[in-house]
Amino acid sequence: MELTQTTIVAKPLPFADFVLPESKQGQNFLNLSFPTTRNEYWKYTRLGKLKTAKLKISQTSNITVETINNIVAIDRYQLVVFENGFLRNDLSDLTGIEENNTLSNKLSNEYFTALSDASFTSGINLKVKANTVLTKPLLLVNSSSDPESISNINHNITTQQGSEAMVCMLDLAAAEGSGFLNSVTRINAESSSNLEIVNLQVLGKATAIQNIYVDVAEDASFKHFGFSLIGQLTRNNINVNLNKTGAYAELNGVYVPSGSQHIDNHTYIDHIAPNCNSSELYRGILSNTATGVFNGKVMVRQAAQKTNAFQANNNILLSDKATMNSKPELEIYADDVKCSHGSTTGQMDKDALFYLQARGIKKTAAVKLLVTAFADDVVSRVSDEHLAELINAMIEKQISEN
Amino acid sequence: MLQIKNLEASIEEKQILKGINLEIKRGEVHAIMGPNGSGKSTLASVLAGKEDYEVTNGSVLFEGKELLELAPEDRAAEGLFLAFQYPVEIPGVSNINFLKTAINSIREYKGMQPIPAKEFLAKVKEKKELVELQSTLTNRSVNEGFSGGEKKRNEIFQMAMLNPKLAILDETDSGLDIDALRIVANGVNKLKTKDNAVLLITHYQRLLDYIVPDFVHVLYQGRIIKTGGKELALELEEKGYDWIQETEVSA
Repeated sequence: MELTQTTIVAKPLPFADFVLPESKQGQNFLNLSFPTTRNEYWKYTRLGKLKTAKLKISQTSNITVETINNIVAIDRYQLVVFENGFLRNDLSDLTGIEENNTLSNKLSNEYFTALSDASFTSGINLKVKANTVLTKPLLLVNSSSDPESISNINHNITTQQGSEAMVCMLDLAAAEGSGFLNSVTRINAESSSNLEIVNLQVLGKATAIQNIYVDVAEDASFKHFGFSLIGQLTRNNINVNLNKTGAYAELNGVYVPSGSQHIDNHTYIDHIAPNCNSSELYRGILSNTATGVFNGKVMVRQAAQKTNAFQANNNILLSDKATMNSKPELEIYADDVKCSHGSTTGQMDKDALFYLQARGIKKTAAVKLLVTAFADDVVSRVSDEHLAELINAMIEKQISEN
Repeated sequence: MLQIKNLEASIEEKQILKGINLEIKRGEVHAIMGPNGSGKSTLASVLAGKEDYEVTNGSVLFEGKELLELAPEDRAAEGLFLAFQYPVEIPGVSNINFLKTAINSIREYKGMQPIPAKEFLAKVKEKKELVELQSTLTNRSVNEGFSGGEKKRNEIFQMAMLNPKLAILDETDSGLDIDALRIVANGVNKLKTKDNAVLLITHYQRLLDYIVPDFVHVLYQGRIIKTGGKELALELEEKGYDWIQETEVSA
């Protein structure tokens, strides 16, 4: 979608000097107000800096294959790269993929979803055909390389009946400055399909907000992994509807904020149909003055009998000054269900640490060993062992540097 | 090898050790016995470097080095080993990975190259048999889901792998049935040489039937109040700790 000065709407964005195209999506967005911590949904995440930032649409092209390859070895993937909101045709293999330039019919009341819906500049439409397997997993890179850029990306992914796909989403900020990556991904897992998404976030000083909306059909399985390794301000919202019997959703994450970074994961799983299972495991390792947020809501509708829902959020604070806000929520309207949730936040296990030291292992190495083991409960669920190994190494590196 | 001089230590301002004096030479086996709360485990923890305890007085020389100034990992690298009374479960860290990391940390401390994989695996196989440790246990997470006996055997297995100069066995006999006790004791006896030493900390005499000490010390209210040969343990078993207290008071 092209943004030009001729498509003027009444009110400019608080943080960018571009204008929205005339559309009902644009109008919808303008009816929403910028979220503050007075909104329950944004209680622990302050967006003041974003509000006062001066951002612009930028078509800078800086990212190279090497930059990406240094993080994830690209030869195993079909690569599609977006930079500052624009498709890098020269780096991308679009076999079976179309660039998305159609406005969504949905009008969201979530501010950043509505923003991207009204103004996105690119994205993919991926349809995995019925009863096929995506032979090469997709490596979908969403990068920011201009410190003053705002990028809005909308992706649509559909796995048709009985198909199978794995997508690795790499969110990357290459610039030292504070670009803003905003994205919306809408997913449709049709009946008996399997979709696994592994999201790696290496976001430097950028602000990143992503909204993922998932519909899971009969006997379909959707797995999502979010590994937030670096990010000055990261907010991930994942919303899953389990629409038909036998639908399965698994949401997992590890976040490792350090310095003054802030990483916020909001999940919402809506058990609409009976006989559906969901599982969530999020683990946080926070150092320095970093802050983390986990808000996981599980809704079990009246019709959703025989629901099985599990949720856990565990956190280790490596510093006295790190903060974690964890809020598990269960709302149950059916009577024959099995739901559990738990949240723990604490220091490193001192007895375990001493035990390792008493065997000759240096304190720093002992901390690394314990923390890596803590994260590995999540990482080991990634079905691609190669990728799991890479993620473990990235987490270990992140811990060693702080 | 080890010289403890007038060692005093406290936890949360409560003094537990009130002036311990003890010398252990290479080739010797010492046993420290005493009633509950006498400070036995505190002594073990202080020697290994647990930070909950504050040393308020005294010195500990280990192979000529001031032990109390070393970090716990450096004490281990110098050749001190503590077999824990309550071995810690560490989910997610495999026994093998843990041992390899420990051995290589100690080798690095000594300026040596990491142990070759083949040599390491051969050593694991050999030492595992010493304490009749099941193969599957070495691949599982450290102590996780181990029975009490398996945990204690795992401690001695680690001791065998690390080959310390001085091994402190903190109530290694507690929670063991007679068969497990025999296996553990056999393991310790096989590891004993004229160059290393063992300090047994125990509540009961029965361990000393299997690992025979050269010296027995009685720890009472933070002090060693009596030292003797192995026959002292038998006398204690027969007459109880009250006997010592009375004889000490009257002396």
